[in-house]
Amino acid sequence: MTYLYQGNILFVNLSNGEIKAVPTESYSDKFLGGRGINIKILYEQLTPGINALDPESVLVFGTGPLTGTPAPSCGRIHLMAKSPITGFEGESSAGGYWAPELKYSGFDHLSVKGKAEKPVYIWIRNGQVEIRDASHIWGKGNYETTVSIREELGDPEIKVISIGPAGENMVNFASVLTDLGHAAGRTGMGALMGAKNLKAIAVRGFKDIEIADIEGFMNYSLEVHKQIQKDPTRLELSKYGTSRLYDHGMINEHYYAATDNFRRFEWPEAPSMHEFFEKHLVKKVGCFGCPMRCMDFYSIPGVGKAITSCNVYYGTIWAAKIKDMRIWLELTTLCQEAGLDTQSVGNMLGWLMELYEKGIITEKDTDGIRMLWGNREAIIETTRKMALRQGLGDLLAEGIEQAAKQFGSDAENCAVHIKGLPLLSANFLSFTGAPLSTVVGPRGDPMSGDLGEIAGPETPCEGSPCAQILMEDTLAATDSMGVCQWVGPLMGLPFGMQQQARLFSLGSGIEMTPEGLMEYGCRIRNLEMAFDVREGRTKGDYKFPKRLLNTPAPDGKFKGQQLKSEKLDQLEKEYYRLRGWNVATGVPRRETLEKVGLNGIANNLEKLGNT
Amino acid sequence: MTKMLILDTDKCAGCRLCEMVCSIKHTNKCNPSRACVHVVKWDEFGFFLPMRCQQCDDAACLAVCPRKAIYRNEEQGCVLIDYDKCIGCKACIIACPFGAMSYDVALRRVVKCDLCNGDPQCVKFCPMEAIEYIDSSCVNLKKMREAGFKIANLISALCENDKNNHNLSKFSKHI
Repeated sequence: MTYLYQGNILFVNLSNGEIKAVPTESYSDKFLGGRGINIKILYEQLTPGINALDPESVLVFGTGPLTGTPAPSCGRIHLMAKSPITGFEGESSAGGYWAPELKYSGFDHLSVKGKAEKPVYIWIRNGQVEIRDASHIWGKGNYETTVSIREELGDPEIKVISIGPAGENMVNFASVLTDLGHAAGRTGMGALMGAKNLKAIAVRGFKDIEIADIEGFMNYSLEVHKQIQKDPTRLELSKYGTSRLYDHGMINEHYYAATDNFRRFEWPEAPSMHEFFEKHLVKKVGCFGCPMRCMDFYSIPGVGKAITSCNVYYGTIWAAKIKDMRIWLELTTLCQEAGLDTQSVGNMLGWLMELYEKGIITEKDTDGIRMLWGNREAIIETTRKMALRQGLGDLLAEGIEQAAKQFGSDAENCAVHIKGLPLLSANFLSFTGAPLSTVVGPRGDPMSGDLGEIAGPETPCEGSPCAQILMEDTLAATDSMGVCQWVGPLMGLPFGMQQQARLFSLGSGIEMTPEGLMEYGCRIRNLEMAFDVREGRTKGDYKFPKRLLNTPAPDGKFKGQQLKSEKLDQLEKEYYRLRGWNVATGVPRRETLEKVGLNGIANNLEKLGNT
Repeated sequence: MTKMLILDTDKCAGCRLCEMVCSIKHTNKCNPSRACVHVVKWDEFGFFLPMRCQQCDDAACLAVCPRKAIYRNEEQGCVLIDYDKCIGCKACIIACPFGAMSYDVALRRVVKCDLCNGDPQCVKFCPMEAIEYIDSSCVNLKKMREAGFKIANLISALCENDKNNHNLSKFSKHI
């Protein structure tokens, strides 16, 4: 009897049509599930050094042991592949309802390799797998694709994960979406699917998930649910989403947003997100089994229809100075249907607007569009072109790093990205942990570890390597269990290592402690770094953008303050030292890999000369 | 009957936790497709409707059963199946206008909501309190108060200039 897990990992090869299932237990002992098993499969299946979009590239979808159970907020799907943007680990997750359905259909993970000759979609029904023609849906938007597949297969309950035209066109920052707007947006996972001619994966399942101690699991799940429901953060998110968090009231007190392409941290004309929320919100919606309901569903006829939360506001409004929230909704709808990462789009629009402002680019470069701040044509047309690779969009689709090269060194100096990943339009002086997190984390993300707290006179914006490690391991474990980070460690809500370990023990019948979970997290982080090292990562690759270093802030609460590159460098080295990785290169040392049970990986790295 | 299940569709977020806990309660497995409640969703409108047995006073399933295997428990206010009498003819599935009678393939029998013997799990777990199990004699009062609260606020706004200053909005809807 397998508890919690379904016990099978599905491997599909689109080049030769080979479909096979492998027992999950050959991976779960050491890598738990979700992100952990994902990185193990990726390390195993991917030939090092190949182009991220090569037909032989591998894209993995992972659920965790708690996915599909009544444990709070266990509905996320984790994607992993070599990123076409960074060339290192690409990882992104999406909420909604697809992940539990994959599990009910009989599989814990799905690994896709190869490239289909023409557009296809994978159809998994209760353990039966079919590769079907997708030429009639190629070109459709994401939600359109879901509706079409449901009609074609005759079941309105089918769950679909898909790419839009942007993914089909292998736009560097294309996203993967499920339901109406639940996106795996970062690191270019949509381009992977496009490169494989894989339009979508449809799932439907009727299989049981077995639970070892049913009464214990149910009682404790209820207890954790109740604890979360009482939490003030949950009350805020459930009622107002993040509309008040990203409203100018909050931002003008704590200054965590950047505008003018990261040059300013004050914007008096910022629109009221909360006003828009009060006027146009149709419903607060959420994900599978989740008490948070943190997403906002807007629908304005003639403008758009979108589900949004946090970074979708954060990454666009201040980035492109969108005063008119209706333009924001139109942009968000476009990004969700076309399948584009809103953070990347927002960042690149702000960058183009600065270049235009300075005359570094003109209408000649922008197909006649005046790239003015907050301008509807500039925003909507440029984004549409990015998705379709039309005109200027074809260059932009290659990513900000490549596009900047074309426009010259002045443009490159204005581009705020890390290893090609356009950064979130945040003020990196505000959250103390964000800069270090971005540089050492698994995917150039300010929220991949210890976000820290709002900086102040007593709490300079420096980051703590020790806290970063603890949080990274905690989040890696959380992602491997299938639990959403937002109801746990990231937001300080009561579904942390203790609760997760206990639920795993009750559900699986295998004893797990919080320390044990942290060990998994540590092993997973080491394997993630080993993967990156094998792909050529070394210290300095995730280089913090020039604009954000050694530049005193011109306004706001942190006026005059700056992030010093020597300080960040010192923190990065301390992080490597505490991790047990080579301080000069970031490469995990043999002793460390052996200590976390990755002897095989240590041997492999040594053989390849990556030490 | 003393209590009934009542829905507030405004509150339902479509999370499907009710389906999971219902299936575990009735089958000891976590499998929403084996639950007696199912959330019908219209994502494009943000509207979600948890559909389950209405425990009809004049139940079609009860009327159609050739073996009189279906009966009412008045105390709990529910319609139940006596599996000793049931022959599995599935006429009740055809008869129910709500689609509330379903069939469990593994257990090989028709299944419906039985209010969990007076302790409905969906009510216990629903984080939005979208499903409640309340006294039948005042089933509409909460909604009435909530609607009244909205009207009271409107009147209060209109009466701003009223000398007596009826500050109706000070009344919490949760009294």
